[in-house]
Amino acid sequence: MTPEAEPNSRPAERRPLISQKNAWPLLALLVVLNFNIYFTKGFADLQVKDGRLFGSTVDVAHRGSIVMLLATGMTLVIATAGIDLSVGAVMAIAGAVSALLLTRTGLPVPVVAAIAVGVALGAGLWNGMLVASLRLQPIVATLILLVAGRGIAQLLTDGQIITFENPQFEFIGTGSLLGLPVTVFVVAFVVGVTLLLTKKAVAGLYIEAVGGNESAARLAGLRPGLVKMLVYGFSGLCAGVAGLIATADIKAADINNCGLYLELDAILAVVIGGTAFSGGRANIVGSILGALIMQTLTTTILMRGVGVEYTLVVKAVAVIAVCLLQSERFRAATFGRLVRRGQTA
Amino acid sequence: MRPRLSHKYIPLFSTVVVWVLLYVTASVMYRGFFSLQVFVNFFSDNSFLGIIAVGMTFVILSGGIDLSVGSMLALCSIVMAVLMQRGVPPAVAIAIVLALGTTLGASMGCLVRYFGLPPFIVTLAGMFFARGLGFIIHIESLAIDNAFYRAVTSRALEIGPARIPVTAFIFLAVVLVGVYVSAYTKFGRNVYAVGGNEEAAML
Repeated sequence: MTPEAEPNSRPAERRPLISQKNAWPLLALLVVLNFNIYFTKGFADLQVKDGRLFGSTVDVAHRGSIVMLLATGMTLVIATAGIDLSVGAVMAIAGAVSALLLTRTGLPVPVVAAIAVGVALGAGLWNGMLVASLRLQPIVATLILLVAGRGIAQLLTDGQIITFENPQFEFIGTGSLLGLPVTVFVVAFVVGVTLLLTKKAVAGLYIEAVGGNESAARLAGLRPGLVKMLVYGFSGLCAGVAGLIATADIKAADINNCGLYLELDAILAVVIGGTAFSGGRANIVGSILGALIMQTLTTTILMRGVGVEYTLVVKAVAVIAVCLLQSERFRAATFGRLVRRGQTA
Repeated sequence: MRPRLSHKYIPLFSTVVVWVLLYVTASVMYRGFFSLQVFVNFFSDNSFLGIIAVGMTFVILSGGIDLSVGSMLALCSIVMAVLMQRGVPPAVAIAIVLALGTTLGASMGCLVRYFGLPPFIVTLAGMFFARGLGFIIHIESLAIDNAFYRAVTSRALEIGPARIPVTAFIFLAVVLVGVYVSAYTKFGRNVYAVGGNEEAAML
């Protein structure tokens, strides 16, 4: 559903410059990419080695895959006017479960992956239960797993980092398919399914209704409790898949560092993408763009030799800049005068 | 009368109950836990946490949230350490750092108030910003080696067998100031009003 620019009915009416909701994030991404292509040596280079595509652009897509997955689930949660702070910890749990199953049992890789993702789904449903049935505030409810989740994973692994050697499992994180990293395909699959469910099926309508006005949704016959539970479950599912990728990437379950602070990156990606915190709108493509923007910024910083400590400040400034541009009051204050002047002619 | 009182104080009451239960359990499980010095240490070891909580209480009362406080703590302490390392007198360094914290916090408040940005996002960005700025200023840990500073911070009041460090007193002082401002000043009442219903408060 991409709205075209509305035709002017009255000449004096201000015509919106860019009316498509994903225009701003797309523009920002193009700006950052172009900056890199012109000013960062070797950014746009693509090489084919052993049938795989190598290059910084591929790197961005690959490294950003985890945040893109988290952001997909987070978008739907935020669209219900909630938040999920536990996704990083759920990643660690999924990683721990998969590493344990790989090393202690002989279960085939697809089964291991399914169980690990299932556990993550369960964690998400737990969050959903707290929010929907106990009516806890989402921040508080997901805070529980944020704090305790890693502890639970530590209990499972006895505090050890579990390493494994399993080429089939590692394929999830490090393999390549048709020249591109597998992670890109995983993200494409998950995002594709999500878009299908939200745009072509009623799920998106229900989610946006519950987020927009919960009482109205209930009166209209929806079940907000069920919708919320499923949405948090889905977020847990995405976190589980992300956890598999992260664990496969380093061939180990590193509970302390797996997904650390990534929930914040996911939230920032969703904000940059334009999904509002008050709920009611789910902009998944925007969130993906937001995640790509942040990953490109990080890669830019690293490639230009600026210290990695600058990434935090850059991310903070980027998010505030985007939020200000999205804020009507700011736009009115800075650009309002320009537009009004051009209209009187 | 009684039902109204209970409803207002239930959160506080339940917190106290949980605390008492934990305290009793720990006293039974661990030898030496139930001593005056351990009790006093709770006030001094966690004084920074308590002071931050006092500030955070005002923010949450007004209906917002502040995620950046931990990173602000880190930023302010590294700035103070770097200033003192460069020879700035401790009292001046402390004043600069207090001003820094206040300014950054107020800036975030301005973004929330004047541009309508959600507090969660603004303070999240503030958290990243403060942590990053701290790293940029000085990436490694920095020991504070200043005679005056050490003299002040290591002082303690000895009462019987207990030694109450100055940090505990600072904590208690901040809590008392917080209680006074929130309950007995116009500003405090305004904070409660804004938190209750911002539009009604504006009217």
